[in-house]
Amino acid sequence: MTPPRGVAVLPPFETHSAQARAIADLFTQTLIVCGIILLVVTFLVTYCVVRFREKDPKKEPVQTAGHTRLEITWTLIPVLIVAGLTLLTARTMASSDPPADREPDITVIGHQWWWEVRYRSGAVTANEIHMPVGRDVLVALESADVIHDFWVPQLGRKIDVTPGYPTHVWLEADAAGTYLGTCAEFCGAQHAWMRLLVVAQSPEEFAAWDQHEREPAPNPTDPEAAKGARLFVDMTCAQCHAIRRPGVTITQPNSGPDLTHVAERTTLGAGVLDNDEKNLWRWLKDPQGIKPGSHMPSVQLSDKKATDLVTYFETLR
Amino acid sequence: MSTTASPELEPAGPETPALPAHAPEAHAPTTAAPGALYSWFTTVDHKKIGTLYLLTAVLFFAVGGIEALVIRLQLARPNNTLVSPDTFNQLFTMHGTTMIFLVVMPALSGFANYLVPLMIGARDMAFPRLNAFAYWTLPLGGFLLHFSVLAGGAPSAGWFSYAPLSETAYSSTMGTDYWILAVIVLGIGSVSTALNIIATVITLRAPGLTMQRLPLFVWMTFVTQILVILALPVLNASLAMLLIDRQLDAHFFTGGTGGGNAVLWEHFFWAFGHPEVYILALPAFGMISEIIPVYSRKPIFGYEFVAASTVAIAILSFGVWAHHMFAVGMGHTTDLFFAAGSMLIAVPTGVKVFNWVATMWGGSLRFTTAMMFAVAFLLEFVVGGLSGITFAAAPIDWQVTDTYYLVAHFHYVAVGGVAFAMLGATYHWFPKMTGRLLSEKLGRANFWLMIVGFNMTFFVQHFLGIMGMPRRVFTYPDLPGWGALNLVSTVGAFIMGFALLLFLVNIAVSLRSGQVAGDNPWDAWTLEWATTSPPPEHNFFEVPPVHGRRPLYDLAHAPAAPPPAEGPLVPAAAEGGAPAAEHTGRLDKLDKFRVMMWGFIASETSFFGVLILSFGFYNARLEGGPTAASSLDVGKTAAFTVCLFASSLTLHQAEKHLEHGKGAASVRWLLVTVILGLVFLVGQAHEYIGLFDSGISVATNLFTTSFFTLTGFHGLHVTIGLVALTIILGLASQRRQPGSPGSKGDTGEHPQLVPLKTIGLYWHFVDVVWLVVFTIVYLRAK
Amino acid sequence: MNGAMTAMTTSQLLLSTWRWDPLAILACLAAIGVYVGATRAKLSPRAPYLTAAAAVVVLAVASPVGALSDGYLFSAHMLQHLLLVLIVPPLVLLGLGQERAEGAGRGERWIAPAWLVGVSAMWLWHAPTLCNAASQSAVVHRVQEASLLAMGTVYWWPILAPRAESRIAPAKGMVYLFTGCVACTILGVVVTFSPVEVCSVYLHPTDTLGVLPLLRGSWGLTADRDQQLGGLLMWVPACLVYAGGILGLLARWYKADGQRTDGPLVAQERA
Repeated sequence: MTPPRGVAVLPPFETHSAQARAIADLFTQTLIVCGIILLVVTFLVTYCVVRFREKDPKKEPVQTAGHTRLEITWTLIPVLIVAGLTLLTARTMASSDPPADREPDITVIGHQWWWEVRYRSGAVTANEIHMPVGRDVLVALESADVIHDFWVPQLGRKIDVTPGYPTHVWLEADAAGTYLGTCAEFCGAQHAWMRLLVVAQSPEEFAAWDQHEREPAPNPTDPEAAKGARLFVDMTCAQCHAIRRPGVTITQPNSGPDLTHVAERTTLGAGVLDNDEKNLWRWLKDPQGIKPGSHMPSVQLSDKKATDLVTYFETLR
Repeated sequence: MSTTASPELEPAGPETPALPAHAPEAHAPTTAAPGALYSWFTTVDHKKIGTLYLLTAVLFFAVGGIEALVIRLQLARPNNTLVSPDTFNQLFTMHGTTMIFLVVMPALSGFANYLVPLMIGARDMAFPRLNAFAYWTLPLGGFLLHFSVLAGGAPSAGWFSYAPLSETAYSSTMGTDYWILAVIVLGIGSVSTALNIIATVITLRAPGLTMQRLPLFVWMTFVTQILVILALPVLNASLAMLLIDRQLDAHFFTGGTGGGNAVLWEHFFWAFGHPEVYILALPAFGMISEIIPVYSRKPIFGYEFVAASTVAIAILSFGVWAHHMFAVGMGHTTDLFFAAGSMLIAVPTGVKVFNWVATMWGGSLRFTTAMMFAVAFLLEFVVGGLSGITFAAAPIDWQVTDTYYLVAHFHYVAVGGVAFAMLGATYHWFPKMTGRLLSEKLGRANFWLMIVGFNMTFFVQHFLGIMGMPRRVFTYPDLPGWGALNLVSTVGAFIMGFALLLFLVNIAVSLRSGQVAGDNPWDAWTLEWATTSPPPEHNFFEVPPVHGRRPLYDLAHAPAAPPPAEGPLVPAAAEGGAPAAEHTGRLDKLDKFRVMMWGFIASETSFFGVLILSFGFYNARLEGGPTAASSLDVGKTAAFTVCLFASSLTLHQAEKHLEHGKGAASVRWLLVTVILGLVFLVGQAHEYIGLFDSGISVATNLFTTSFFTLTGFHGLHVTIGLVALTIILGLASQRRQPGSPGSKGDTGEHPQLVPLKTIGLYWHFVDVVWLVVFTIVYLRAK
Repeated sequence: MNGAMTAMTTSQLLLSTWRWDPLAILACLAAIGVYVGATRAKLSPRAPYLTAAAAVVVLAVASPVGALSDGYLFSAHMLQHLLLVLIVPPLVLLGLGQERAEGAGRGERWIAPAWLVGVSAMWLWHAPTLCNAASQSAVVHRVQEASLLAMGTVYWWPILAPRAESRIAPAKGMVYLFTGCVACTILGVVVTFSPVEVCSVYLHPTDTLGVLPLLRGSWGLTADRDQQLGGLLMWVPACLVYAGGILGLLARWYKADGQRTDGPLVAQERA
C-alpha cells in the first residue's frame, strides 16, 4: 500500500484525540523521569570508570562494605518515584480508556486477516472505518477466530480482540484525515497485512457516506459488468463475500469482506495493495501469490473473466 | 594449605583431559587417550556437565543467531520477499524458543553447574547422576524442537504460542506439538537441575560457609532455582493442557468454541513467563556481583541488600505477570494492581544497580574484558529496565506493546543484560575452566564490536515501535523512515554476529595457545580460585577455612597468629565455626534427599495447582453436558480413596519398622502399601471405564476434560510412586549378608531407609493432592 | 428507596460514617488497661507499636472502612480482614517483644498448626455461607472479627513471639511466610476471577447510610468490580505484608551471622 500523504511519523505522539493525548502526556512524563534516571546512572558509571581507574596495582582501596543509611535512601527514593508514577498511571487510565456506557456505534470483528466493520446504522464495510470528526464513537470488538488487536495509535490505545472475550474502545478524532491502524497481535501467516484505516470526515460527509454504504449496490447496466456479476455467483465468490443487491435476498456470508461498495475503499487485502483496477485484477488472478496463506483461494480465472469481474467491481461504488 | 597448584599433586590419568597448569605446550582438552571422548557421554562430573551445557548452548546460539540474521535480512527492506510469510513466522518462533530454552537457560545451567560446587567448596553436586540426566534432556529437547522442520514445519505461533492460534484449527502442522513436547522435556531438565542445585547449596557447603556468606552468584542462582521449581511446572501443566486440546480435541483454550478460554492460556503462560525472565536475569546479576568487586578490588557494596533485593524480586515476580496482558482489557482495577506491582519490582533491581556502582566507587578498577562487559551491562540493562518502566505504566503499554519498542526492551535486558553478563562471565571464568586466559586483544575487539553491533541493532527499534511498526510482521509498508531504520538494525545485527564470531575464535585460539592462567589470575576471593585451573576431578586438594564472604582475601590478609579455637585446617565436623552454631549449622544438617524431595513436592504443588485452578475455573462456567454431580459415583470413589489414605498409614508403619531395624516387618507393611495403592489405581481405572462406557470421553465438555486431566495426572503420579515403592520393596526384601555391598555397613541403618523415607514423603504428598482433588471434584460437586 | 436524599460525596462519606462501636472501644480500653497494669505504667520503647495496633483496630472497625464493610462493599470487608489478620497481630507482637534476637526454635513444634490456623482464617470466612452470615448477623460479625484477630496472632506467633526462644529460625520463618503468602494469593486469585459471588449479600446492599449511589456511581464500584478489588487486595497488598515479613527475617538472619557490612571492613569479622 502507498502511505497517505502527510502520514504521521510518530503516531503515539501525533495525537488526534483526547484519549491518545492523555497517553502521550504520560509517555512524555515517564520518559523524562526515566531519562533523568538514565543520565544519573550513566554519569555515575562514567565517573567511576574515569576517576577510579587503577593507578597503583600495589595499593588496595579502602574495603568499604556498605552503608545502611545510603541503602535506605536509594530504596525509598525509587519507591516514591514509583508511587508518583502509579498515581499518574491511574489517572491516565481513566482519561484514556473510558468505560462503555451505551450501545456500540460500530462492531468490528477481527478475522484472519481482515477487519469486518458493521455499523449500528446497518452499514457494512471492511478494513476501513469512517467516522465523524469531533464525536465519540464506541467500537465493540469481537474475534471470529484467533486473538487480534485493534490499534490506531493516533487515536488511542490498542485493545486485544479475543474470541469469546468481547472488548470495546472509544474512537474520537479531532481533525479530519486518514489515520493508519493495524492488527497488533500476531494472528498467523498474514498478520503483517491486516491493516486498517480510520477516515475521519465532517459530520455531513460522514452522514452521506453512512447513508450511501447502507444502500445496496446498483444492478449493473453495462453488459461486461453484468457478465462480471454473473461470474461473481458462478465462480462461488458469493459463498464468502456479500454484495447486497436490490431485490436479492442473500444470507450474508462473512468469511470474506462485504464487497457492496468495494470500489470506494482505499486498499485491497487489508492494506497489501492500493485499490485500483490493475491491482484488483492482479488480486483476482492470484490472491495467494500476493497474500499467501490468506483464505481466498486462487481459482483459475482466465484473463477475460478477471477483466469482467473487475469491470463489475468498479461499478460497486 | 596452598592456594597454588603443586605439580606433584597433579593427578595423572585419562579422566582429567583438561590441561595441567604446568605444561604450557600441552594440547587443547581432548586428548588422544582412548575413552576420553566417551567419558564426555558418560560423565557425571559437574565440571564436564557444565562444559557440555555451555558447548550445547553455543551450538544452539549459532542456530538461533542465524535465524535472527535471516529475519533481519527479510526485514531490511519494505515489502521484501526473501522468505515467505510462513517461513518467517517459523523463524521468529524458533528464534525465540531457541534463545530462551536452548541457549540462555542451558548456558546459565552450565555456569551454575560448573561454578556452584566449586564456590561452596564441594566435591560435586548433590546428585551427580540426576545432573547428567538433566543435561541430556537438553539435546533431546533441541532435537524434538528441530525435528519439526522435517515433520511438516517448525512451530509458527510465536514463542508464547497464544491460543487459539496454537490450536489445531489454526496451526495444523505438527510443529506446535513438537514445540510442546520439546519444552516439556526441557522443563523437566530445568526442574531437575534446580532440585540438584538447591540440595547442593543447602547440604554441601564447606565448613564455615554459612548461607549468609555465600558468594552472590551462588545465592542468586539458589534463589533462581526456587523460582524454577515453582514456575516451570506452571508451564508444563499449561503445555499438557494445550497438547490435550490439540491431540484429544478438547477445548481448554479454544476461545469461545466449546467453552474454552483463550485468556486463561495467557494467564497461565505469563504466570510462568514472568518469573522466567527473572530466572534468566538473576543468575546474570549474580555473575556481575562477582565480577565487579574483583576488578574493583573491593567487596560488593551492601551484600545483604543485594541478597535481600534478590529475594524481593523473586517474591514480586509472581505478582506481576499480567503486565504482559495489559492490552487484553481485563479491567482497570486489575490493570492498575499489576502496573503498581510491575513498577515496584524495579525498586529492588535499582538497589542492585546502585550497589554495583557503589562497589566501583572508590575502588581500583582494572578494565579487563570481563570488567568491560560488566560495566556495559550496567548501562545496557538500565536502558532495558527503564523501557520496562514505561511498559509498567499501563496506558503507555497500550500504545507500544507488541511493537518493536517491546522487541527493543526485551533485547536490551536479555542481550544487553543477560548475554553481556555471560560474555563477561566467560572472560572471567574461562581461565579457571581451561587453565588458559582468553586473549585480551581479541576480547577488546569482541567487546567493542558487540557494543556497536548490539546498540545499532536494537536502539533504533525503540523508534520503529513508536513509529508504529508492530512486532512479528514478515514485512511492512514503505512508511517514512521504516525502511532506513530497519536497514540500520539489520547491519547492526551482522556486526553483532561478527562480534560473536570473534568471541568463538577467541575461545578456539586461546584453548590452544592462550596464556597460562594459574590458580587465581584475577586475585579473586571465592573458593573456586583456591584450586588449580582447571580443577582436579575432585575439585579441591584442601578447602581453605571460611570465616567470611571472601575466604581467599581473609587468608591473604590473615593476622600472624591463627585465631583461637579455629585452626587453619578444615575441622572435620561441619558446624560452621560460628559461635551461634546451633542455628547456622541447622541447614547443614539437612539431609540432601529430604531437601530434594521437598523441592520436588513444591514443584508438583505448582503443577497440580494449575490443574486444580483450571478445574475450578471451568466448572464454575459449565454450559451443559455432564457435570461432577451427574456423572461421578462419590461412594465408590470414596472407597478406593480410603485405601489410598490407608496406604499412607501403612507406609508410615513400614518406615517406622525399618528405622528400628525390623526389616521383615517393614517389608510386609510395604507390601500392603503397594497393594492398597494398586487398589486405588484399579478403582480409578474402573471409574474411567465406566465413564467411557456411558459415552463420556475426555473431550465431551470442559468438566470431563479437566476431570480426566486432573485425575489422570494424579493417577500417573500414583503409578510412578508405586513403581518406586515396588523397587524399594524388592531391594528391601533381599536378604543381605553383613559386609556385602548394600548391607547395613557403618551407619548401622538399613540401606533402604533413606530411599524409603524419601519416596514416603512423595507418597504422602500424592495422598494430600488426592485429598484436595477428592474434596473439590467429588465432595463439592454441584 | 432514597428518593429524598441527595447523593453523598466522598468527603461526606469519609467524615460522617465513623461509628463509635462500644464493644470495640471497651475491648481496646481493657487491653490498654491490662498492658499498663502488667508493665506498671513504664512505657517500653516498643509502645508505639501497640499504639499503632490500636489505631489500626479503630481504622478497621470504627472508620468508614468498617461502615462500608458492613454489607456495602466486599472490598472494604476484605480490607478489614486483612488489617485484622495481617497488620494488627504483628504490631501487637512487635509491641510486646523484648528482644530482637532471632529464634532458637522452641516454637518449632507449633509451626504446622499455627500455619494451618492462619491460613484457615482467610479461607474459612470466604465460604459463601459463613461470609453471608457474618454480614447479616452482628453476633457472627463480632465472632468473625475476634477470630480473625486471634487466628492472626496464632499465625504470627512463630515469627514474632515476644520471647525470642519461642520464635522459629529465620530460614524456616521465611518458608513459613512464603507458603502463607502463596495460600493467600491463591485465594485472592480465585476470588478475583470467580464468576460466582463469594458473598452474595454484597450484591444488593440495604442502603441505610445513603452511600450506594456514591459507591456505584462516582466510585464506579459495581458488584463485579467490588469483588475483583476484594480479590486483588487479598493478593497484592497482602503479599506485600508477607514479603515485608520475609525481608525482615532476612535482615535478622544476616545479623545473626555477624558479618560486618557497614563502613570499611577493618579486618574480616568472625561471627
